[in-house]
Amino acid sequence: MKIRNTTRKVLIVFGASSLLLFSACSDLLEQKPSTTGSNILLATSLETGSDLREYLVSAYDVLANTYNGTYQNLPTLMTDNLVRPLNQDNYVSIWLRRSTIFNSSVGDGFKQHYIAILRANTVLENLDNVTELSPADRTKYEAEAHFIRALCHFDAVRGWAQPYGFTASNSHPGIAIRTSTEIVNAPRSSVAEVYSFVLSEIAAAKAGLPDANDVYATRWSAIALEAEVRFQQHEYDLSYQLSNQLLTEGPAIFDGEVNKYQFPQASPESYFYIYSATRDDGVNVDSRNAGFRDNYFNGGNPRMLLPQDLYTTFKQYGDSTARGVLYGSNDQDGNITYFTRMFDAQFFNIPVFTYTQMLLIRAESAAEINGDIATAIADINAIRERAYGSNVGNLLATASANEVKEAARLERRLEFPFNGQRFHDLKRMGSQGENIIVRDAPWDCNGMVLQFPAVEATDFFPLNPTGGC
Amino acid sequence: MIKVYTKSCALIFAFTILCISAYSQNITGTVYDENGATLPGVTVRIQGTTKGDATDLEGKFNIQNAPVGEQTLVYSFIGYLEATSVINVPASGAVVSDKNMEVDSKMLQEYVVVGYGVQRKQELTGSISRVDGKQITDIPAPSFEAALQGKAAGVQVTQGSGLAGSASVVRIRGIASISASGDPLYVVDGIPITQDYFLNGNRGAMNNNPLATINPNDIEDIQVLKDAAATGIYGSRGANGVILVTTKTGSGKGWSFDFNTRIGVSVPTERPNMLNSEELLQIYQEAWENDGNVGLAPLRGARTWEQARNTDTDWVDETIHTGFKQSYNLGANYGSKRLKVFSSIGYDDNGSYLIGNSYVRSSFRANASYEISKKVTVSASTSFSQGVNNRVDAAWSGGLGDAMSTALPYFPIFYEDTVFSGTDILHLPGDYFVDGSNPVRKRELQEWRTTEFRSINNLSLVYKPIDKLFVKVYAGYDYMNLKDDKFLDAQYRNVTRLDTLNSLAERWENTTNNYNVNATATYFHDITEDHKLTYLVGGEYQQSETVANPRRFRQDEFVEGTFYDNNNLLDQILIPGVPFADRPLVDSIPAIAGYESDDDNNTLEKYNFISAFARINYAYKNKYYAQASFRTDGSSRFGENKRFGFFPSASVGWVLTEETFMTNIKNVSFLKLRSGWGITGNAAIPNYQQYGLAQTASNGYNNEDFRYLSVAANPNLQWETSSTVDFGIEAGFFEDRITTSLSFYHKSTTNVLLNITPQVSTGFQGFWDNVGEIKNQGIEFQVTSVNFSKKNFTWKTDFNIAYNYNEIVSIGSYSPDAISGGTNDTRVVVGKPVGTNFLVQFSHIDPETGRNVYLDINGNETMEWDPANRIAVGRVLPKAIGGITNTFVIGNWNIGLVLVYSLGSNIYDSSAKRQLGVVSEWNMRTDIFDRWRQPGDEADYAQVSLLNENYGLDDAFNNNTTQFLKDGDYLRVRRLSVGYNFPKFKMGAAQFQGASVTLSAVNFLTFTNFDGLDPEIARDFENATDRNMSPNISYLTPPQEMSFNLALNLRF
Repeated sequence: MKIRNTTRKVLIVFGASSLLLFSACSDLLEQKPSTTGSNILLATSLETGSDLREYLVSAYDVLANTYNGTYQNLPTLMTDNLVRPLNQDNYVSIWLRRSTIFNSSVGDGFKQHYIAILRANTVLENLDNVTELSPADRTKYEAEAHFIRALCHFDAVRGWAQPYGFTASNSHPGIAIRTSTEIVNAPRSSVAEVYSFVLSEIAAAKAGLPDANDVYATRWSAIALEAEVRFQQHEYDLSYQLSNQLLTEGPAIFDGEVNKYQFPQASPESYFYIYSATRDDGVNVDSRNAGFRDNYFNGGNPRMLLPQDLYTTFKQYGDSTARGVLYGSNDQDGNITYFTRMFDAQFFNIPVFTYTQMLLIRAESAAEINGDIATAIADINAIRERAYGSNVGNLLATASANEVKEAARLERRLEFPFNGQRFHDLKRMGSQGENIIVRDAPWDCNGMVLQFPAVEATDFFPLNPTGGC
Repeated sequence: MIKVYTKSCALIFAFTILCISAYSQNITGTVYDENGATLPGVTVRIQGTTKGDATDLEGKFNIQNAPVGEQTLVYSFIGYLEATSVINVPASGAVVSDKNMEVDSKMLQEYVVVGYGVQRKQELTGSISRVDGKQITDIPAPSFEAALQGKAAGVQVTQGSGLAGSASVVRIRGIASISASGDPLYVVDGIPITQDYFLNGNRGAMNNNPLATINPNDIEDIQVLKDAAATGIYGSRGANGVILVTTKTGSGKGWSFDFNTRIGVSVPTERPNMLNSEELLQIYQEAWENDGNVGLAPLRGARTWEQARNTDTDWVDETIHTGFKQSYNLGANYGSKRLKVFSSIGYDDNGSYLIGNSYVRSSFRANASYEISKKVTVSASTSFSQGVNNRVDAAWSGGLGDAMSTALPYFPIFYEDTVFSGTDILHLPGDYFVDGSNPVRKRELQEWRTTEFRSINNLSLVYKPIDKLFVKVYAGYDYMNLKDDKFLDAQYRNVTRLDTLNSLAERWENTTNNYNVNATATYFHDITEDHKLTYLVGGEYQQSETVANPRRFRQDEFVEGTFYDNNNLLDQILIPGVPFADRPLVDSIPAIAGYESDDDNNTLEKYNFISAFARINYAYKNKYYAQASFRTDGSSRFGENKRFGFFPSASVGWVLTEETFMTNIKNVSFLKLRSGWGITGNAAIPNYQQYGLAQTASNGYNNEDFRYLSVAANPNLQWETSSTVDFGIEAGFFEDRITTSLSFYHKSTTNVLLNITPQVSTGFQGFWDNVGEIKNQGIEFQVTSVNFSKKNFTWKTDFNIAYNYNEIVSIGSYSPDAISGGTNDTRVVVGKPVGTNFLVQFSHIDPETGRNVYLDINGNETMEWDPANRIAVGRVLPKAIGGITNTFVIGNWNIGLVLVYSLGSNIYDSSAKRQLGVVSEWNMRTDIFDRWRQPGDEADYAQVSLLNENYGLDDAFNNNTTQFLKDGDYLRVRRLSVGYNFPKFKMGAAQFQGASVTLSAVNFLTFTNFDGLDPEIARDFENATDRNMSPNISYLTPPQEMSFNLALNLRF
């Protein structure tokens, strides 16, 4: 009996002390990462308006690493502006138009767009959760986040889906629309849905963006983006209006330099650009041009090279024209290669939308809608005179709308051959019913659409079909 | 520690049955063990009376007032066979009766360490395998766990690669985890030790092995707890099994010593068959011409054809040699009635066959227990060990890996001629070649070592306030400091003579302080003679803190030679007053002007567990046993809503041989049935994953600071939970000459912790969630048979086999590509085992075109490799594993033969896709000789080409097809040894209790169909997911080593 009592006592004492230990120490389990390092709790990272601004800057930071050439190279590779790249397996398969779910260049390009979107979404979700945020800043940050979402969705849908107009209703599969930071599987929205979303985002951006905003997005950036979207949609009335608005009211000016990749100031033609900032020491530079420079210059051994016909066109009016000097050739044991000097500088800023782009949108749109052809001719001739230093290449004042369109298209190819625009133009032309063959393959063959990375696929998110180019 | 307490208990028990006598005759005597040493604590009683005594420290007893006449003395002591002697007690005068007792080998094995205590083996209702310390040291292994291979049923040990100190992959009863660690919990003398393989990342293609600093010679035994009845008491951490390591304690009487030494040599089990210069040039030129080119192909590394033809570097020879091993270990043992001490010092220099690579362990241990009074025993142990891993690059990182890939045979080690750029001299003759891969340069111009300092300590106090109640308080402290030091000579960093980079010293340092305290109370409650209960209750707290501290130091001056060899430089920097806290390599670089230091990257990570547990054991008449255990754990790693988990288990056992109906069944000496059920968990995931996390950074876009969301919050993150049912039969035949056990188990794991790569468009790269479900079921069989037993010849066989079936039941709505498993090519596919190869089917080489023919998802032939055609194929986990050990003792000679085998697995030879695929910057294997060359050829490999598209590929690295999925079965002679035992002998004045000399060969013979290097593969891993999913993937992995060793053991 005595033993039993003891047993009971022992059990009670230990049971009780264990419970005590438990409840008393339960708070100890609240282990959180230190808040002094670079890895901090989300809650403590988002308290004030300036915290929110840092979140917004992080979205621009991703844009800057995406539009440094990394993204632009992907569409360019599928065009007729480049020959087979050297020593770059990923790029070769894009050029061969057979990239797969494992192509890390394609996958990274895709991912970066959505990381920027995630960061923009973080800003949008927390506008009301922070203190010390002025109404003006709130409006601006919100609009900037919408601009970033619009730009990234637009470029993602142009790269990873068949273009607007590929089907009459644009019900063909587009990309995922992401408007929240929640981790949920998203279906493939149709191209129509994505364009509609992009336009609503641009509207929201335009409503809140200021006309000047340091190196960041302005109302003019949003209008330029909208002009590009409308142009891509074959809505030439609107693209004409928007480009005309920018050219007549906007802050950018026509610049005498053919090469828009300038430093330390961005080209005065820019409506939006990626900035390589000089560090506070005044010496080092936060270089944001690697995607271009590492491939087109690469220490004098460029991996991205031009086809001979394009080179010849550049040199049409001589080696020493402003446009001609940007291109050169190498002869190694009879093996001749053609390269650009556009990206030779160590540092340069990268315009995303420029005055010249808008001139050419205006010109081509005018031709498409049979609008102000005279202005269109003047637009093209301004560009050609800058390129050749004379009127040797000018359109005649009597040029037809079709001649203007062809000239505008050629100038688009020659003015910005490596920013991806060539690809979008080929798709745009094809999707409006023209017979476009690109390096022996139709404009809409499967490989003329970039493949999604492997994990984007779910039962509700079919990958792009492969082969056929 | 726990054993000490058992023995103390026996001693106490022995003393308590002393009785008082009224007779006048005394019986005295001394009791000895089989070696002639005196035995204290033996109970000696007169049969049929209550008279008796217990032997004192000198083994002497004195029974007073013994009844006159013929009496039978009964001697009993735990661990020894009960003995009797008949004496005649005269009416007057004393009688002397000495006795020798024999060890009861059966009894010795009967006590097994279980979680927080010991149990008699007969009473066990869970599944536990015991491996004796002697079996751990009989194989020179990089680390103790490697020696478990083939010795316990259901314990799969894949020894690390040929790299010194590399870690084995240990899996108990299959694998029930995907992203959380699938390794068992290692508990050393009561403390769950720091066992993170990724503290040092995957630097140099090697994961640090946190177990390598433990000296195998210090291990008394290892218990592998396999089912929930056994592991349930470890609750949240028992799901993948528990390995309890108990270090030696003092025993016997007085001092005794044990000295071991071993020397040996090692070579790789297999040598890579790479092309020589001539062969590679021929293949390369052929590919060039096949691609429609004319003339001579431009060669790599800026080599001219003339230079290439005059160079033939055998890079394999340049990276391997015969490794040398030596080890010395001295153990001291002291036992007295109250004090027991074990101490050891050890030194082990384990040189691998890779030039420059060795693991040197120096260790010290002291274990002591002291019985302060009959109620209080205090025990303490401490160990200090240092493991210095002299590192080399391996696999994808270089070294032999380069020799098997990018180091081409037409590359020289040194330039033969001056190399100019214009008029500038880039290289002089004798400079290291840098225009292509050069593993010799890399090895010789960098100094690299990882130093792990480890100290595992514990202190415990057992208090017996009343009879049969034992209260134990325990504190454990495990300290680990890991320094990975690299010094890159300026010459290494400067590619040409025009470059002026400085040398660089780098250190990655991690320090982990791991504390554990627990308190338990055990009460043996004998309700009646037949009904016995044992209660255990306890509470435990564990906390672990890791500080990671990467640093880099850069010298401002160009220095010839390595830093620590440059004494002049050291003199310059030995400035008084400058702290020398941090020493890269063996010498120090202070953070002073002229030296750049990046020292503000300290990060602290902390986790803890709070637990309460209880266990009740019930025994009826030594034949029916039941056990129930409960544990509640709280972990800092889970969401606030899910922080605590409850883990019950219940099990029963029935010893049929205790039943009367079995007494007539001859030859069945023991028969037990047992069955158990329980729920266990797994919490081995990175810290802080339940919280939403952000990263901050400065100097971002436009020089602005920025911050961003890096980890999404998951407040519902919780334990991975396994529910296990186990059924076992244990039997002994012919007086236990044959003992055998058979177990069946079924383990269902739910809430599987997955590190998911969500849709890329979420913007997140990964997050942790409880998603999946996994099933494991299997059978284990083990038999030990003394086949032959005569005085001068015995032959014993141990055989075990375990079959495991593993299946992923669910991974939620995610695709097979959604689980990030590092760099390997395995996936999670529902209906398939954890870690399935996911490959495009290779069909054949088209005899007409010489191109690869694949099969699409519908089985139609295609020449295009498309990932949409990948299917789940192959098994990275074997169906069956096991070992066969034969031991022969012929007089003083003994022969041991240990065989291990693995059946039903595949190996994916991931390097072969480059070595035998697109002709590229890699060297190739001689297998490429069987390539297609002209229409009609039936070849193993395609027509050689430099272009991916000629193989239907988009990337040479994506050449993942069944062409390189190989049969992974093997039977390996793990160890063959011949030894000779010298009995007690004298050498001069020295008296030796015994000695032995053993010659052994390890891994010297392997039977396999695998055509790669070695079928036993544990490669480098990126993370725990990779470790779970991608064993049996070979990627330039250094093959296992074969070693030949001579060992000497002296006991005195």
